Amino acid sequence: MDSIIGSKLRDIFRLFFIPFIAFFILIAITLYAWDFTNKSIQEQKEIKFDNDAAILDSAIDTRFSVYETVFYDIRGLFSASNSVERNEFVTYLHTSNIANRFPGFSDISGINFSQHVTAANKDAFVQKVKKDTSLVATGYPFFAIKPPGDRPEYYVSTYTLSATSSAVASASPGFGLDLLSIPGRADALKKAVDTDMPVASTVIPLLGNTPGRKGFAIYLPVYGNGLQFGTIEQRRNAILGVISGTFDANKLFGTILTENKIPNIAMAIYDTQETADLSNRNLLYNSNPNARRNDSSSITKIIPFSLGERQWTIRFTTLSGYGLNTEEELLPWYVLIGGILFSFLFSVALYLLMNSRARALSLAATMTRELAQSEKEYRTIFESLQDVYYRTDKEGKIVFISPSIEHYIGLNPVEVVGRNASSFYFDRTERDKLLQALQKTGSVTDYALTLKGKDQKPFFVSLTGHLLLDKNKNLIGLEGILRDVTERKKIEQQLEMRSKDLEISKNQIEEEKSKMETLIQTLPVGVAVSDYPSGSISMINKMGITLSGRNVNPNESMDTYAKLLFKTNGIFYPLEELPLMLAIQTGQSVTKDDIVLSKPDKTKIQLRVTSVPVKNAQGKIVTVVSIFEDITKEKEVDRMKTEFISLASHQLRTPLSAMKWFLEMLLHGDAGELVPEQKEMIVNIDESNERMIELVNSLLNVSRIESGRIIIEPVPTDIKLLLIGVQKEIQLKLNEKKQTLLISVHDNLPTVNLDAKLIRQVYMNLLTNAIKYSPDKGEITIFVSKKDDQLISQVSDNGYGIPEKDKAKVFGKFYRGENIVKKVTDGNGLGLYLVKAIIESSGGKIWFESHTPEEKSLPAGRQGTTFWFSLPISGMIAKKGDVSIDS
Amino acid sequence: MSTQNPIIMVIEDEDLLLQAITKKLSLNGITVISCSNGDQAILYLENHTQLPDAIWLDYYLKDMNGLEFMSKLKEKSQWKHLPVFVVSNSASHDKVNRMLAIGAKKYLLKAEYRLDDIIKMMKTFIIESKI
Repeated sequence: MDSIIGSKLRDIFRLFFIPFIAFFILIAITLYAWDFTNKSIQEQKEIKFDNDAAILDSAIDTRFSVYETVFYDIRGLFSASNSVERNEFVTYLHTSNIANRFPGFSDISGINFSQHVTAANKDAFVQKVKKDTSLVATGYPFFAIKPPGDRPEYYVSTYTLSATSSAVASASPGFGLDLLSIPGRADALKKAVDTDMPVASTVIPLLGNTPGRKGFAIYLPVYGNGLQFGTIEQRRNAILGVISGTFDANKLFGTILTENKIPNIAMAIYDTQETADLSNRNLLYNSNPNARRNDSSSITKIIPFSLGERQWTIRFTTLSGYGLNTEEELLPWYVLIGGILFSFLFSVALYLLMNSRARALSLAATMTRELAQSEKEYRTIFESLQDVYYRTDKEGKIVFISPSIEHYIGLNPVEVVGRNASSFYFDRTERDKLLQALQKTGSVTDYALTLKGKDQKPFFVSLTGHLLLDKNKNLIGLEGILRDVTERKKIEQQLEMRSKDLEISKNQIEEEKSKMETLIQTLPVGVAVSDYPSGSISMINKMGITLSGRNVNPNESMDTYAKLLFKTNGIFYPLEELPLMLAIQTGQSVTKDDIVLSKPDKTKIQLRVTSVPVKNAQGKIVTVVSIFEDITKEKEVDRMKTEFISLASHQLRTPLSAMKWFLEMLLHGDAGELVPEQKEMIVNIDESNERMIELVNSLLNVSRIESGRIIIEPVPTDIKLLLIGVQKEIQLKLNEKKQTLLISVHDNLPTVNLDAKLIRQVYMNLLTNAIKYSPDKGEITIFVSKKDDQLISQVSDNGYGIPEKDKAKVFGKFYRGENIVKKVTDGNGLGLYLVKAIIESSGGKIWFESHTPEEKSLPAGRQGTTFWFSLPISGMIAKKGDVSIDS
Repeated sequence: MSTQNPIIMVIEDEDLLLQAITKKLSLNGITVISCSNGDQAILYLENHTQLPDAIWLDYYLKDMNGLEFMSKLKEKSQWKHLPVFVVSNSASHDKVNRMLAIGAKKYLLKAEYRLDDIIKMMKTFIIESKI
């Protein structure tokens, strides 16, 4: 199991791992390609940038060359004479239109000429300018050198051409300004004078309305007398003035940038050659002051630039939009996304390919394993086969046989192969018959044979086999399977016997059944069979049909039949009180004889129905059989009999009463005093008369009980009080025989719902019997107790007892014990019958134990009779009727 | 106690019994009005101002039963309160209850009682009712 799980895991690992690795390798290649493309794009960008920077650098250079040329041109103008006239200068500038052709000059300062003035000729110079009317008719009467004060020499600005106005700025703030008084300019000016070279100034703030504008100035000296090459001294002496151009850095470089149309490059120019000191302090120009520095993708190039003896540093920086064209820029992303997509798709494809391959491999492995397993199973089956497989050649020689043969004939296959099959037959004729059978059909199935087994005993087999034929349908042998059927034969024989037995039993049962059916059908009582627990009637016999006047429909429920059943008083018989339903409910046999059936012809019959649950072997009720008989006549006869007795008794009472009363009067002497002998006779007659009255009373009571018309009126009764009353009534009789009565009632007995009149009758009868059938001075005891839910009364005497052979008849009508008939003459044999009837109609039971003195080995004191009767503590059930006892 | 003898009306259709009862009552100093059927008794009562102190009534009479007789007594206010003792051969529960309900003083079973006992019972009742 573990190895299976292990190999499964390995398979899954293999299945996922390889596409996974492939994916990663492809991603790595993609990333490399991306990086490579990125780098080469960057390289190209840098080349382009270098190129662009060089273009700008040379543009700046070219622009300055132009300025230089212009300056030299102007110098040439001045150099022609030893003085420069204002009008000449202005005219030149105007005609050359230099400021507009080469933008970049300061708006205010522009191009300017400043006259060298020494302290000696200062005043003359000032006077000269004041009187100069070459341009303005009034001259310049308020001209003065600024700032005022006496200095050894001055370079006084006299001519200025503003960049924005072609007019000579006669009233410009620079007119009359001594350039030497401005520190940043003075150095560059002096250096230009000394070197006869154009010299640039440091960064200077520009004059004008816009604060913070920066710029620089270039100076070129103008010498008198055409001085060309000379020493510094010579140059200082020959100096006439300087030509200066003041440039607005933003304007100048901004124009250059715009003109060259190279977008997204920031250019900054610093007035220093120290690349480490590129700061705002020496910043001359910055095209994009807000451009982010140190952007990883931006490229920076720093180029030194020299201008008129001044060393500058130009810094070029690419801005975010700088670059190649869009497609080239996007190339790395194409490579990256394309590569990732390809990696993913390739891996998925690889996985799918491997998965299907793995499934194919797994299927192949399973099939191989199953094949090996089934081969193994077949081999096992073959080797452990109890059946014998064999093959013979066409002569009947055994060429192959399975090992199981040894078990049956005691020879192993090696010993058997090579022998002729015929030698194993118990009866050789069987083989001939088999061969005939085979020749007919070519095969046999379950063909019975008897072979020689161990010790030459026969063993029974069944053969299933067929002839072996070659391609040309020539016989080449026989192939078959032998199965040991010895056991089967035995079982078959047993089965045959068993089935014969069964057949007999079946016949017997059928016979019994038929008898039973005949019996049931011909029974003189109705029989109905009901389903349990529904109660529906599934079968009814002939008498049943006759009695009820209908056949039954098994689908009809009992409710339907119940509508045909009534109580003797005419009300519907409650379904749940029917014996059938009670039997189903209680599982016990129930009899009722107060059921009136209404027949289809509207006649009514009274039925006695006994329903008996039929239980199976497990004690489960399977069906309920109800037996019913027509007791209409029986009841009628009964009624008539009871009525007759009742009537007869009543009729008897009248003469008995007459006799009773006349005898009473006779005895009383109402007809004169009787002599003793007469009196004795009359007493005897009177006693007989009384017995007759008693008998009639008893008969009446019996007839009432039997007619079922007796009333039962239970009221809560204290047994002890009831017994005391009984004792009082009977005391006279006890006294006559000097007998004692002991009454013992258990304490804590509950009051029980009893019809005191009836129960009193029970005690009276039992006690009367005890008194009558006990000798003088006998002892009688009553003992009342409670056991479970029953009230038990015990009445014992030590009297004559009941003979064994009479015990069964004790409760019979008119029974009198054989032993007492002669001893006690009065007694009508109805007392115990009545007692039993009362007890049983009250839901109780009565039983007794009795020993006559004649009984051998009777322990002393055991003679006499004890009656017990039980009453339910729950009390008697009230019953309506029309007669009570003793009336 | 009245100096006059008590008067008891006896209604009994059985002649022998009527004789015995009449004789015994007379022997006991009781004036007896003997009637052998119900109509006779009613007729007597209608025609005499002197009413009996008590009536001894048999239940089953030839012309009527005790219940019918009782109903007739109840029809007249002067008879309404006549004490009736039923002395009968049969005493079914129903009968006894009905008779007592309609006003009979006692319901006795003939064979169960001696004449003496019944007379004693009636005398006691008459005396007590007169006090």
